[in-house]
Amino acid sequence: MIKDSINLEEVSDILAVSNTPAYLFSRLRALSSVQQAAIKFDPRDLIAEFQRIDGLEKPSAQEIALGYALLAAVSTSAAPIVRDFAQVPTSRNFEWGDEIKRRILSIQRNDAASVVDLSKKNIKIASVPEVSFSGTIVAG
Amino acid sequence: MCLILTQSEARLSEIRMDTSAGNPISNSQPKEIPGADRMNFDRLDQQFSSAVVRCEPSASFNCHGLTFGSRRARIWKSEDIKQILKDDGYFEVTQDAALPGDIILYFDPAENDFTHSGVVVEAAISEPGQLYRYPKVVSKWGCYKELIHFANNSPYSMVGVKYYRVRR
Repeated sequence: MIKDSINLEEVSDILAVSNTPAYLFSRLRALSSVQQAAIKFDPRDLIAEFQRIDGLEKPSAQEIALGYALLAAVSTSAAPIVRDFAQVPTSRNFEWGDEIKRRILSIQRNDAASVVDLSKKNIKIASVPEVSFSGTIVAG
Repeated sequence: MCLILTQSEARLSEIRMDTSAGNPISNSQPKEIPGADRMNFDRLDQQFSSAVVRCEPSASFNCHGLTFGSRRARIWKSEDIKQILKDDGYFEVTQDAALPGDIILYFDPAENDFTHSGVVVEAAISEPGQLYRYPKVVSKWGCYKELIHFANNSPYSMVGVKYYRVRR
């Protein structure tokens, strides 16, 4: 079970005192149980669990906390499905869901643009971003 | 601080809030944050038992809503906080010079985010020969309580803390 691998007490305490989505997102991403869940579970399963909670009529406080933790866990994956997921608005269950999804998209864009092997003079771009690049890369 | 606050008829979840220069401040005024009314605050109560409780948990305003919005809404965009500081004429004061009525801002440079804010209610004690004491502030911690606490006794990092005063 995904929810059993995430320390929901820690997540709930962070959620309770969060004044901004940036604080919530960065603190949750730093939690070891969230990082472990990101490694242990396929992003598809994490997304499916989030979508289940997102569709609930009246989720519990624990389910809301779990939902935010799932967003943080999913954000560490570079899988294309995560980018697609982050582009879909969340329901009213998550006040900062859309803002956090914007941050996930931003991370994905940054990762795609910065994965460059500089140890070799023949520079390879490991993943190709969808955005266009008009600058010049100079190999040292 | 000079904010104009009027109830918007168009969007009940947001009130009109402008800086003194007329720039709009985005905010939310939720009747309910899903799950917030059923949160368990026992661990926070224990961890910060030395803080004085001024108000019980509420989701209707956050720290920036207390500091800049008269406890009427939740403000969370850092660009809006920057706009308020600029338009309302806040200027920085040192920690030891901060007086009751000045404000404290906790800033996370890595995230470019104002993670927390509050209002100073008691100045620091920094006299020679005495144990240093941080200023006391009143602040709202997310959906949790409004508390009176030492500036360095909260879940928020002190690394980017600054104090500001507004003179009008």
